[in-house]
Amino acid sequence: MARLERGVLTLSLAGLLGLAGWASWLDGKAWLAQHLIAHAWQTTLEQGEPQRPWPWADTWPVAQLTTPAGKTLYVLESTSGEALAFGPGRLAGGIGSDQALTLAGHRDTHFAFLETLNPGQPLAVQLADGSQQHFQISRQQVINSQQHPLHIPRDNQQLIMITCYPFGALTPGGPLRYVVTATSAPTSNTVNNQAEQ
Amino acid sequence: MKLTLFFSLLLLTFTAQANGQPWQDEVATGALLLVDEQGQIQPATLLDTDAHITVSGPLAEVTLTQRFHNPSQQFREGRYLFPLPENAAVDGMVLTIGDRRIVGRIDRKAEAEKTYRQARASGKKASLVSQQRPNLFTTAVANIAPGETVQVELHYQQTLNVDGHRFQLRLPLTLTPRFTPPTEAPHTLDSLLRNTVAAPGGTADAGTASVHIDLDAGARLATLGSPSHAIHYQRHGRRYTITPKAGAIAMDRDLLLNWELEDTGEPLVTRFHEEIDGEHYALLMVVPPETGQVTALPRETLFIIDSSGSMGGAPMRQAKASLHLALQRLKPGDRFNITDFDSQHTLLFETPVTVSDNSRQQAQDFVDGLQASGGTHMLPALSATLSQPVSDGYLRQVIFITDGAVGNENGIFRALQQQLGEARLFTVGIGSAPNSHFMTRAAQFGRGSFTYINDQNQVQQGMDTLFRRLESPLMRNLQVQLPDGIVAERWPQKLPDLYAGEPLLVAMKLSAPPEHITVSGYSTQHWQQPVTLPTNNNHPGTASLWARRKIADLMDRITLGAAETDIAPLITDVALRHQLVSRYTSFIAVEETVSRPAHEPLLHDTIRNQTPHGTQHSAAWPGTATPAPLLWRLAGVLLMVCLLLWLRQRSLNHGAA
Repeated sequence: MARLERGVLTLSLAGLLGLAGWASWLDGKAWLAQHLIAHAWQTTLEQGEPQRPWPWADTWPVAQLTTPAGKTLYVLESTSGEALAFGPGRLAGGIGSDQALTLAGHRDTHFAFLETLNPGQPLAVQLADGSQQHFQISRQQVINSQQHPLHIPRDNQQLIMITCYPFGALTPGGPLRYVVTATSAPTSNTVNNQAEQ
Repeated sequence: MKLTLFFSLLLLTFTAQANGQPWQDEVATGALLLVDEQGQIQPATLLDTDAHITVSGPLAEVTLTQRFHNPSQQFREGRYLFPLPENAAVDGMVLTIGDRRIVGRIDRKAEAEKTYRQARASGKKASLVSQQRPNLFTTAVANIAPGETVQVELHYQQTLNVDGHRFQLRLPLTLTPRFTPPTEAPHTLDSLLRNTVAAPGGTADAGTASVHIDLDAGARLATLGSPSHAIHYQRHGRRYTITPKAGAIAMDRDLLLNWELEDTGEPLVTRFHEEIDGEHYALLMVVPPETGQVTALPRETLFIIDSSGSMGGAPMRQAKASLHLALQRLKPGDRFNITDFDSQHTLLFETPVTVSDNSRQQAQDFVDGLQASGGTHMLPALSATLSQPVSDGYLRQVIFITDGAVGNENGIFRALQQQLGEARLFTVGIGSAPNSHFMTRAAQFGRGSFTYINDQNQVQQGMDTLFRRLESPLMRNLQVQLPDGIVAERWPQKLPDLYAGEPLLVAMKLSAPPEHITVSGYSTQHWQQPVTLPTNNNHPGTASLWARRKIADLMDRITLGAAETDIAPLITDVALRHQLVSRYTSFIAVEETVSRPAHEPLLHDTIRNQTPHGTQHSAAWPGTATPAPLLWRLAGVLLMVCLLLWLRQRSLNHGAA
């Protein structure tokens, strides 16, 4: 009996280490990658060309997003699972597009802050050509992705951010999405003020 | 009991990881509708299609009628993005409102768009047909009155796909949005496609298509059938009329019709002629005979296999199985090598080696050891493969196994053009949604073919077809000889080498009608075929096809790096002259009378195509959660379990002591 229990204990310990290691790997690379990408983004701005954050990356930063709390996030090209592990990804819009800039991010890492947003709060986006755009949150919706067809508006004065819903859910893969829409704001200093506070 | 549950959960999550499927693939993806400010969804413009197809020999003439119906109470503008076969020459458009027919005219794209916008603003009905990509077109119809139906009739010609005596007609009916590839520059087309294809389970506006085919293959048929639809046919002598059994068919998949001619042992020769304003146009299609022999030339086969992260899971298993099968088919005495690439590339051997039991075994071990990870850096791998020293006397064939998730497509086409030399490139597309546009084009530039494998069961069949082609002898040195004194503007300008059984298709503009033309070539022996042009017979459309070939060839030059500013005027000239839709020219039709009063608003609709049949996952919806919270929670539970067990053991030990 004691031997069986010891066996279970060892297995549980191994499982615990494995799970914790895996989870820290997911969270850790989400955090670390943003720092590596920061450098690639600076180079992109200086040279005006896409810059891979590390040589074997399948993606590169295309925008910088400043949250109402003043935190910066680097947006990556592509919304593949691989890219989203490192940062929010661009789904549509951006330089030369007439569509809304549409971003997607993981609810448990980069886009966790979406939960705390309120209408009227400012957001800022810098694109790879250096241009700055300011937005104000106008709407928050929960959408069932299985029931509604996709329509990204042809309006490049909008910013749309998508993440999974509900925020506290344990398992990935649910049908619900949390969609935050922000519209272009004419003034530019709100975000900076907020960031300095 | 609880423990078992946890461990099975654990096991489940580990299996999911081992499959290497990105998490988003497991998300039942749907789509997102951002309703308008009033929160209302209006019934949008609907569309039905009629296709009337006349096949004569290797040519199809298609009249496509698109009916736009406005069920709403407001005036509407409908826009519809639809696919046509890659080699289709759109040479006519008619706008029909009730019994009024307005024949469209060709104009420069910008001019046509301006005319359309003016008509739209002034309340007149108008339609505009333009090309977005070689195989993607849009029709826009302005000012459709409430409850009204407006028809746009398109006419195009296409040359059919031919493989020996087998012919295939394809009528594309919907679009496949690509899985968002990590492109170097954002692909405007991808977002365009996403907006014009309904999400799985979503409602589409494109309804049904009724199809009617008149088939005169030019010879007796050995087989006739459709792999895509149940069909019904009637035979009148050599001619067949074919309709889908179901009547109007859902526009959720392409309609395919295959037929095979009875093999009479004679090479197939088809020729058409048309005279316009004293200029003679000719189209020749000659299928060199299949000799039934296996190539006399020893072959050098260079494999390139993509083992980047996007190939993870089933695709990698299919790719490995394909490669194993290919290795078995190599013949002793032939030469081969394998390049494996992800972020970096590795060559199995420094230079190609002779096939032997030893080298084959080494190759098989190499393939077994491949794992999918890293990025897709295709260009360096391709260059390294192609720059291996050429072995004299060997026929070099490059076989490229990949899902084609690449960004810099044009860069790769250019590299192929510069480095491929005499070699040929055959692409093998793996996975459920390979970038087939890229792989078809790459095979075209590499004068090879594209094989598509999306299922483990198709590996055998796909590789068999590919190898049959690789092993049939090559026809080299193809020439078309005209009588003295006759000058021809010929497309393609340089005749490619062909595998036996591949059709040679040449379009010519001739200074005078020749009596005889001789087509010759060389494979295992000299081969020659005299061709008589039916000069007293005018086949309308031959000139259009010639012009379409010329435009396609000029467009390829742009892809390969020629300045667009040099080529565009040439294309515009030909397209305007031959009334063809191209990248620079569009069809426009405007009604003279005003139908929408100035005070009535005009609403705009994009017609959504039906989701391709069998699509479950749409690329549009990314998965936006990781399993990290679940993992932490499970780790927490296990921590509790460990603590409990540890405490228990301690108390037991104390008890014993």
